[in-house]
Amino acid sequence: MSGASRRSFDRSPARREGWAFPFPGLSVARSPPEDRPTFWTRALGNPPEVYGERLRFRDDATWRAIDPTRSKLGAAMCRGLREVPLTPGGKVLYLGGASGTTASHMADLVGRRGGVYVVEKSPRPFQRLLDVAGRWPNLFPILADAHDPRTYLPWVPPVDALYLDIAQPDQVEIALEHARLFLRRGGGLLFALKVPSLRRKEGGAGDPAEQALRGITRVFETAPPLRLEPFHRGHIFITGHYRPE
Amino acid sequence: MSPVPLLVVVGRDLLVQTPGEREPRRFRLSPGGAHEGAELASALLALSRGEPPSRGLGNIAGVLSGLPQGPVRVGDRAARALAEALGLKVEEAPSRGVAAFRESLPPLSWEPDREMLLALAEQALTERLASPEEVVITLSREGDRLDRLVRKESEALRALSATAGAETPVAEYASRAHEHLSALEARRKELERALEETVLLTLPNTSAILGPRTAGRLLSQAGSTSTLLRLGASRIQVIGARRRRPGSPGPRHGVLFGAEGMDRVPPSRRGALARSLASWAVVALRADLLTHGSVGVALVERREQRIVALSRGRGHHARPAPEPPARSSVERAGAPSRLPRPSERRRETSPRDDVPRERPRHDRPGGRRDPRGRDPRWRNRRRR
Repeated sequence: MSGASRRSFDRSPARREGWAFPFPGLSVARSPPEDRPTFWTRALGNPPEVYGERLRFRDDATWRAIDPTRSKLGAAMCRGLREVPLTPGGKVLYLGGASGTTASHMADLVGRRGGVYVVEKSPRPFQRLLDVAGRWPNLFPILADAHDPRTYLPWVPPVDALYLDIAQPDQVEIALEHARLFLRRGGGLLFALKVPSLRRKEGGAGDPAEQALRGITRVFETAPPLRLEPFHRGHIFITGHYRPE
Repeated sequence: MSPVPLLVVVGRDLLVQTPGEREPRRFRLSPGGAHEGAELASALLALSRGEPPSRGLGNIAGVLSGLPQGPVRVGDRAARALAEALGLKVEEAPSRGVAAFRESLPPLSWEPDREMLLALAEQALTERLASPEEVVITLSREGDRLDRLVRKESEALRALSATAGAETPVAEYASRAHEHLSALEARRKELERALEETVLLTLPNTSAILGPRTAGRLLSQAGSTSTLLRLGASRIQVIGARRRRPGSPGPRHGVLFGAEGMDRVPPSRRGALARSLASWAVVALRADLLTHGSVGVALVERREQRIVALSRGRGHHARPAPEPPARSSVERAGAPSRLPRPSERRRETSPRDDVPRERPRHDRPGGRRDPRGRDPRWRNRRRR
């Protein structure tokens, strides 16, 4: 697919550009007008549209563009996320799924043999999430509060990755507790941490974001965190692997 | 392995790991037929909330036989509810132990039962949306939406009827539109009635002090009762207020603008009434949601006093003298029943009690905190 007038659209992960995403369901295209890559996932759901994202049809498949302003994962990819600690066929626990925009892309990534267990506590977005889950064969919605993981423990298996997008004061504690309960040793962490929501500890010294990071690095081997500006204000994205003790 | 048996629910099964045995024992929670689909879903949901199990949820008594005496450890809410129903002494298993046990299970026992998970999600959503709290939020938001719609429609209609001649198609269309509008208004009234009914049941004290419509708006803006309970009076006062330009004085009232009694005080004093209403609303909300007490009547009385005071003059200075309280034995001995309020103290020492007091400095035109008249940006600002 060469030619100056056509956008490059590479079905294989764009190793040329330095991305090491081993997902058959992901492709990267560089679109000339805005000089940043666009990430596309191969839709497993039918009908494929979830939130008004751009669609393309290639090789009997529908590809959906990840909108970085709607999805923190997409924003992290645009900001230079080089390694996604997910595996095709893996199981993911997703906290704070809202109406399923990012969750549906995640489900595309892990593929049919994988599974994404989405926890959301607010009933109105959950209605839309339920609609998406009806179309995606590997998306499992759970209406529950992430403060209380033992309510949904019976329905979520041990997982290979944990994704969090919950703007809560105790989001770090929630992440650690879920890692203890659900995450396999060596499993991945994808954490969209909202800094303004963090509770400032009583008498704690220093930046709350740094305190949070210190708490996470105690059990996770993390990559340097990414700032998600200008796509999402006040968020940093942390990836890592679970290494308890 | 710990010497205490571990109970964990996996999907539809209760797994019991006893210390001596290699394999956990498995108990089906639904013996097929009796519990399927929505019924099973609601039974499992109730368990996960920690409610006692419904009759016939599998052979629970069978679990009891063969368990050693003494306490058991539970991994999740459902297992806890089951164990407590069996009359066992229960303690929560540590996260690490639960995780290790779950990972030791063969992967096959984790094949997700998609149908069941979707049924569970649907059932949970239905139950949640049927709770009075969510009903109030739904109706309140729908009411606000209809309000906007009615306002827009009637505006358009006014423009139409101004241009409508006697026998033009415009006039015909306008009369049709008028019918549509009155139907909308009727729907709005119907909704209002349903909303009031629910709010009066769920937030009786708050709706006494603020009016049911405003109480409902407060809840719908906050999003949930637990959020609402966390808010203080200062936040309640401005909940639902639009953001203003930075540097401008903050809002005086949000949804409280439509509260009961706001229209009976002069506009300049509405901020003051909103302040008081907010603090009473906090008390009323706690009575409604936590203690289930009845404070509405007392608060309404105070509100009426405050309204009278505010419409007469300047705030608490104009409050009618309080009734002298019944004298206690201590007071008869010569001691005051309470410390004087700061305002009273000041008045006692004031040399000229009959002369109206000078306005405080921040409230004077041209005063230090009131740049009206000096700064052109402030010239047309209302006094707060």
